[in-house]
Amino acid sequence: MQSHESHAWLWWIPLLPLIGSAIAGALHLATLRARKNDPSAAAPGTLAPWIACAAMAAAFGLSVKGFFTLQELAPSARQLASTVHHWISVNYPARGEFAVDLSLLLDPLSSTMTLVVTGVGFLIHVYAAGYMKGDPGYGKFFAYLNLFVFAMLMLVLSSSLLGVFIGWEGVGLCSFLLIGFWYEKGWPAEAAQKAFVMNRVGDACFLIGSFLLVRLFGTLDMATIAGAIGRGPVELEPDVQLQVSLAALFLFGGACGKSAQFPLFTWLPDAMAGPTPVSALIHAATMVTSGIYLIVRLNPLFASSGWVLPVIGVVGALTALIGGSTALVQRDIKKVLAYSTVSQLGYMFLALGTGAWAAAVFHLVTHAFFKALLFLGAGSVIHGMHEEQDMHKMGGLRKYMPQTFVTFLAGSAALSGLPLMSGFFSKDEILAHAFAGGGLYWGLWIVGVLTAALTAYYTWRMVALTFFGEERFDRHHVHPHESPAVMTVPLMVLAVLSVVGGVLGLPPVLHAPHLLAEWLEPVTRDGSRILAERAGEHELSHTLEWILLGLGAAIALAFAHTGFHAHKRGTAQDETLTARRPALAAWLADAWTIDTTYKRVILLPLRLVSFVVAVVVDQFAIDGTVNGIGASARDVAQWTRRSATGSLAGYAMWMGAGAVVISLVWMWS
Amino acid sequence: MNPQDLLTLFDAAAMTALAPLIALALGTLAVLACGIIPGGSVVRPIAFLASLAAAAAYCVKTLVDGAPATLVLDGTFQSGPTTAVWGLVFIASTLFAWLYSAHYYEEDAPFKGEHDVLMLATPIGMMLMAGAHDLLVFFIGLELLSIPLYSLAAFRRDRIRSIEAGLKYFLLGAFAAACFLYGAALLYATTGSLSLDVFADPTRRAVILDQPLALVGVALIASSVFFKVSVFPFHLWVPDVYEGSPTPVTALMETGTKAAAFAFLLNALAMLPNSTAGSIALIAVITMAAGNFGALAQTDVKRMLAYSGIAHAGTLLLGVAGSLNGDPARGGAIEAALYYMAAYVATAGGAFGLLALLERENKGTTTLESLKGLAQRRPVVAAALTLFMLSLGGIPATGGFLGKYLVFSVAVRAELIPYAILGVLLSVVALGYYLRVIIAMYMQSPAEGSVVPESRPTPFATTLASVVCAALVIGLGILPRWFLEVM
Repeated sequence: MQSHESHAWLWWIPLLPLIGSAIAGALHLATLRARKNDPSAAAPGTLAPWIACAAMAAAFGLSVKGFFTLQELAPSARQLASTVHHWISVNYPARGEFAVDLSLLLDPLSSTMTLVVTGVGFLIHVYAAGYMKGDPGYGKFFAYLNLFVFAMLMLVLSSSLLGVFIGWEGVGLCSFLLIGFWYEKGWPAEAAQKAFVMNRVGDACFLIGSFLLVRLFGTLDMATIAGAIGRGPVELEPDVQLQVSLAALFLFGGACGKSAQFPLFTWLPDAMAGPTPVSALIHAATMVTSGIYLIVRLNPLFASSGWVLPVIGVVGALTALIGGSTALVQRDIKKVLAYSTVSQLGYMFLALGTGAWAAAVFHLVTHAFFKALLFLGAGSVIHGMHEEQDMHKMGGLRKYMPQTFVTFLAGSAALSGLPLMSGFFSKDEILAHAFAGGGLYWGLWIVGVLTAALTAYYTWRMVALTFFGEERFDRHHVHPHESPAVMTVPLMVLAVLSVVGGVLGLPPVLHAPHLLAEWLEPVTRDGSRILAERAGEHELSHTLEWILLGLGAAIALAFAHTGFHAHKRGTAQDETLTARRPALAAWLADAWTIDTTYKRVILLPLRLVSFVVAVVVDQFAIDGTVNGIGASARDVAQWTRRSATGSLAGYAMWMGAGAVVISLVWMWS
Repeated sequence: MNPQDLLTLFDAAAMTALAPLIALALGTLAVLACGIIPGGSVVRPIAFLASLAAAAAYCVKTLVDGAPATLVLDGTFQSGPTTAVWGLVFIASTLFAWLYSAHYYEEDAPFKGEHDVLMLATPIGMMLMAGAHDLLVFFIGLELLSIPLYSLAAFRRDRIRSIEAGLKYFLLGAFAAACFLYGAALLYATTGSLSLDVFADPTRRAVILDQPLALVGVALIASSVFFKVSVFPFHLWVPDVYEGSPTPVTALMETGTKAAAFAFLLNALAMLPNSTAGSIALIAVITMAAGNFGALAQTDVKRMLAYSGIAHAGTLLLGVAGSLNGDPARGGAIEAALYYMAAYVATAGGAFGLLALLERENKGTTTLESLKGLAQRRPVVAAALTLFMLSLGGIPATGGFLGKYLVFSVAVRAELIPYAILGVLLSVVALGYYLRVIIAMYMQSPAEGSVVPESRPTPFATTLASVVCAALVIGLGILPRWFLEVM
């Protein structure tokens, strides 16, 4: 049903940010050149945000155009494609042709992602224009940020896994560059390196998964793969089933790296070393959701993968719990939000594990709204507090920054799932699906509900510590102030979206259409059908749904109330916990000591092995051998060199001898 | 011969086939005339470029028409898409060499007119060689290429090394030409023809190649071609001649001449008995070893690149051997050779061109020592030279890698696997000296007390040629499909 008409304009969606990036980069270089001799010279780099924001606005406009073009089509025909180049084509005599095209595909899923990336991305760009003002790397920052958006759009728009991988590596690179943006400070550079290295583990899994898919299907085109599984038999041959399961497992491994899931999540909290707009854009709203996108894109594969789906659910629930519990005790406001992001991403994977594809995307969208808002709000606070991130040194800020405060409240309400907020509906839908799954999923449901309670608690603890209570900063030196309009207006837009975003996916009991699920239905149809045929449908009765909704609302309200009241008077509650249960507090603060365990179990032995390899194996054995070979090569070389004596007669003799020998040999053979 | 016969001989098809050669010949005459007419030195570059452009346009036209190869001029000359691509390779090679020569000469600059005439004559010879379907036509092409090159090699008349290079090249070239003529005479004695047609029919070919006299003839012809492409043991002249010749001329010899000789070799492959595949593969591997180990010992970059050119000829010869041994993919060797040479023209052309630039700056020296610290002095030149070195070494994402890949796949498909493995291992040796250049530029600083040359502004022609070369190297490296489809 793929429309054969080519939509080359699709390429402008990623290309515009790429062009913006190039211009912003050039402006930055021009600034450097201008400032080389005269530090007070006018900086062309100050134009960079205009360019970058214009590129984002235009890309968003095109995404909207794409959305409406899709909407005019019949649901099953909602696919716009554009192929510009048959990139790779290899003929294997035995297996047929393996071809990869450079092509883009816009369908309901990539359209949703594109709208989020360009829409939320645009707001964050605008905000960053205010936040990064005065930074010496102003132009460079926007060059990186636009480059990131380009890579992210390639990731969500490419129709082949190779294209996705290019975007996947591209966002990884930009994430590295932006986490380490302030590399002169030292620790951001280390955090960037950690993020990069941990992502490589996931990337390797991604590659292995792709290879397995090539082996199975002979192609990397995701629509072809999904279609082949969707049309095939529901029960697979055992060996095919094993390969499908392994491919799905490895791709999920890739998703774990990029989307910060257990056991590869520890880079995300460290990634907060980057400027706050980066945390909002890359480490909350867009890049970290790539893994969810990938799984939804290949949902028939995952639906057919058998035991992999429960594994995804368990990993998601476990990550949600680890993230949620760790966020309880953090003092750094950005760390709270970082662990919260880990936890919410865990929810999305929990949804995927139950086969609730649309619910995962729904939570992805609402999370993009409210978590971007919270990060930007936190950035506004940090900005107003002269780069202070410790909540124990804040307090009572609501009267200094009223706009930030109100919008932050909206974001917190959505994150904690207070009734009728966007996060309430999306989280509830995930929990309802887990509840309906039965068996193992019951256990996951319990973990999910527990995490929901933790979420409400830490969110309102954060609100209370930051905006309420006594002012715990040095009022002689710190003068909190509201941020400029360029920063607060994006906050307001996001606040509205966080509050009303729930209308995208209202639960069935309200007898309203689930807009997002209907929109995504052409993409998720095959996966859902396979799951239904394999495991049977799970429908909840309306009464049960009401009960679950009510339970969710009650838990959110109760724990939000507790969290707020326990902390609104200051840091006493935190100190009590540390005093009474020091071991527990330390264990929680260190994220269940997973990162420390890595250091001890992986990093330390690795360093030891590296040392042995470097000194004994490399310097002694290998260098010795290689140098030996090299030295003998050089001896041979000297000998060869001597053959070029410069004597003409000698050369002619060699030639003559050569002709004679060749003649003789050929006559013989 | 009456005029009517002439008209039948030079019919429309023949004129189409000869159009690029005629364009170049007229251009040569025009450039020559520019030496006499007043103000000619201004018109000369225009005439030169126009003639190359016209020839290229005719080649592109043949390529676009896509008509299968045809024999014209009484079956002595072949024209088709393959010769058209070869033609483009020759034209590119001439163009790069000429662009780099624009600001190369100092005391010989007044004779640039003669230089350009000689240079423009060489692609005519190359095209005749590539399209020759008759041994005499090939010989005419060979001489049309060689004689200008002999003079060009000795073009810097007051430099003893240049004179030496020209003389050595001429004497050994004459020796090789004599070999060729003798071989052709022996073949004529056994077959009564100089046309390659006699090898077209398999039974007749088998009969011919069964006669010892014919085999000696073939071996002598092959030897003289081996001399032109510089494979073992006909390669010894290369370092001396390449080092002594003016650097742009070296670039032309290294790229264009080699390509033309390989074009003929692949065209006349039927002449060689299939049983020679093993010995040719052996020669190829020995050549790679001689080239790579020879290059390893050099301290002069120009001489090092000369040895590296020998190694590259060996690599390409392995593809020829693969084709002889029965490569299942039809035309695989020709495709590989075209790709390899296209990448090589851009890579080696660019490398020698930049070397020519640095040679002038460093007062005539091209030692590894003189490159130290270049990355600081001239970051762009260093980066471009790095790209060319990586492509010569066959690092992925450059044209050099894919060329090597294609050639070695021919050998592997033709079951010359041990030779292919040896070849790949020898390519590793090659990295030893390519990387040394990069190390010198980026990681070492000039020795204490050495005079750091003043950087002059890079001439436009050099910049243009380098940008085109670099773009081709990268393009051939990442968009192989596009280029293969064009071919």
